[in-house]
Amino acid sequence: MTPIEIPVARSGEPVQPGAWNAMRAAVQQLQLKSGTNCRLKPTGRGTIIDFVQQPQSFSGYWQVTLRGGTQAMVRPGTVNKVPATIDGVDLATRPAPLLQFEQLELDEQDRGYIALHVRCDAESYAILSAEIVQVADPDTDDGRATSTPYTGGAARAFGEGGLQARHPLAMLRRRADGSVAVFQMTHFPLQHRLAFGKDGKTAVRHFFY
Amino acid sequence: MAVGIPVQEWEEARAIIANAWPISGLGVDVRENGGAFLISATGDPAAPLHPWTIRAEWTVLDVPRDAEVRGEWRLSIEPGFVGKADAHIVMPAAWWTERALEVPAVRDVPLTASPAPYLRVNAWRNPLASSSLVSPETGDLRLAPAEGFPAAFRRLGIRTPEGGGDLLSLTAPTAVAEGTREIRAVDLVLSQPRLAQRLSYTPSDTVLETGEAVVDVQVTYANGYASARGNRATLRVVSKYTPPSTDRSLDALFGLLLQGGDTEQDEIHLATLWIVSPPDAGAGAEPDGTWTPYAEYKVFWNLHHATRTFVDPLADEPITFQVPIGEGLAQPIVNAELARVNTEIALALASLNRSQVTGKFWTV
Repeated sequence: MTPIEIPVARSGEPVQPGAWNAMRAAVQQLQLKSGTNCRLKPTGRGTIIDFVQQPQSFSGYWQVTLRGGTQAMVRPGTVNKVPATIDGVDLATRPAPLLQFEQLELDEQDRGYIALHVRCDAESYAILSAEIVQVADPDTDDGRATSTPYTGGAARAFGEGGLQARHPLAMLRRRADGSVAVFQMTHFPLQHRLAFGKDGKTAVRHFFY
Repeated sequence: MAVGIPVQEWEEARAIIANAWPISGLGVDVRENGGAFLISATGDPAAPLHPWTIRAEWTVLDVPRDAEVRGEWRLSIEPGFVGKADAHIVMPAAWWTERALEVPAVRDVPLTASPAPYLRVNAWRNPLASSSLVSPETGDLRLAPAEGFPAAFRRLGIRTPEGGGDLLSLTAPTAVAEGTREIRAVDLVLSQPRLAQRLSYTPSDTVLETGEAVVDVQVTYANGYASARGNRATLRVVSKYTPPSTDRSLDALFGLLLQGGDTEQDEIHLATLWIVSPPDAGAGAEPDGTWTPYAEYKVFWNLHHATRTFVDPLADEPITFQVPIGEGLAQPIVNAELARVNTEIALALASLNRSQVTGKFWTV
């Protein structure tokens, strides 16, 4: 980079066109220029310098990646320290198991979920299994969409004794052009607790946190 | 021979010199160091793109709102979820067309939609200005000190917040002009509709020997608002978020008993967006495209929400009040006879608290 050449003026000497043009050229070199990740905002009283780094996608537990329209890969995760599985195969197994589906189950708004389906023991209420599934609605018994979605807060209990529930890991939204966007919903290992009804035995809500 | 310098050339050179003065912006620290400027990246790694991440952009309006408002700050929000549902933003029904501002109807647009919805910022608060009144023990009315701003902004050369002052003597609030940059802020709030708690009370024909009548009070639940909203969580921008009171005893006694009902929704403060002006913006300046936004997050991850009580379809037994004949239900609560019905009120409050449906948020 060439150093700035600033013309020198002698005392009493009138400013000649050449000197002034040299001064203009020197001033031109004072202009701030933005480089990588740098954004400049001239204000008339100075220039605000922003250093803007592009945020990185969070790559963590449960991260869902679609492969084509019929497969999904899910990074390992646990619930109450029980590893999640696809068809009984631990997500941490290498090569990683893939969730296969013939076509996406979506609701009328073209939304679906990759969810964690947990089954609890009838005596100890411990987690028996944590399977990855693809459903249109995690709160229905069969995972299909319903015209009256459950809105009771926490995950709906279903199955005998209310011992099953699904927790959404990622939302899938099909766009008008047919592509499917994935929105990660759960980022960390999960804890799970049951809330019981008045009989003290039947689960009415499943809390994931 | 002296030669005149064209004014345009002079002004161009002057503007360049003026703009060569570096000012700290996002992720940059500028310090004068021996007559030169030391410009450093503050070294913060790029934050991961988490739910509720705010992207604030100044948008020049195709049709200016008026002569002075030619653009607006718009906030796009990285999709976040409450339970299985994506949060929504209320938008004009045809907001993606140029007619957006002319269409009065609104609809809820999910953050996961394409194109994504956005929030408009219309009312910034000024955390440098003293705006509220306090009445200390002396009885004087005084302006409270201004809200101020997080310590991290000090290095940007922001004007010192007003320190408050005596209102009645009309003395000006104390202010020290250390910096000349202004700061404004807004809050991002999420609202989740839920069941509402109601009380129904039925006067009975029974009259006790003591001359008191009997009123049955029963807790009921209404789902009208939540149902009308489709149970959708919505985001909104407010100038300053004030959380609802957590002590609902008075609500229960006066609001619910008088059928005022509760708020029918729970709220959570997700973030505060601060915005900093260029130098010498002036105390009354409004943010425009020359200002720099900074987001301060209160919540980083997706949320779940549940009401405290799982509402059993079989409602609790009604509570029975004994009230003097000839007086309304509210009267004995608010007058000197309150003591006589203390037991009943305690019972009512206990029952209300047991059945409260105020919800909780938690992150996943």
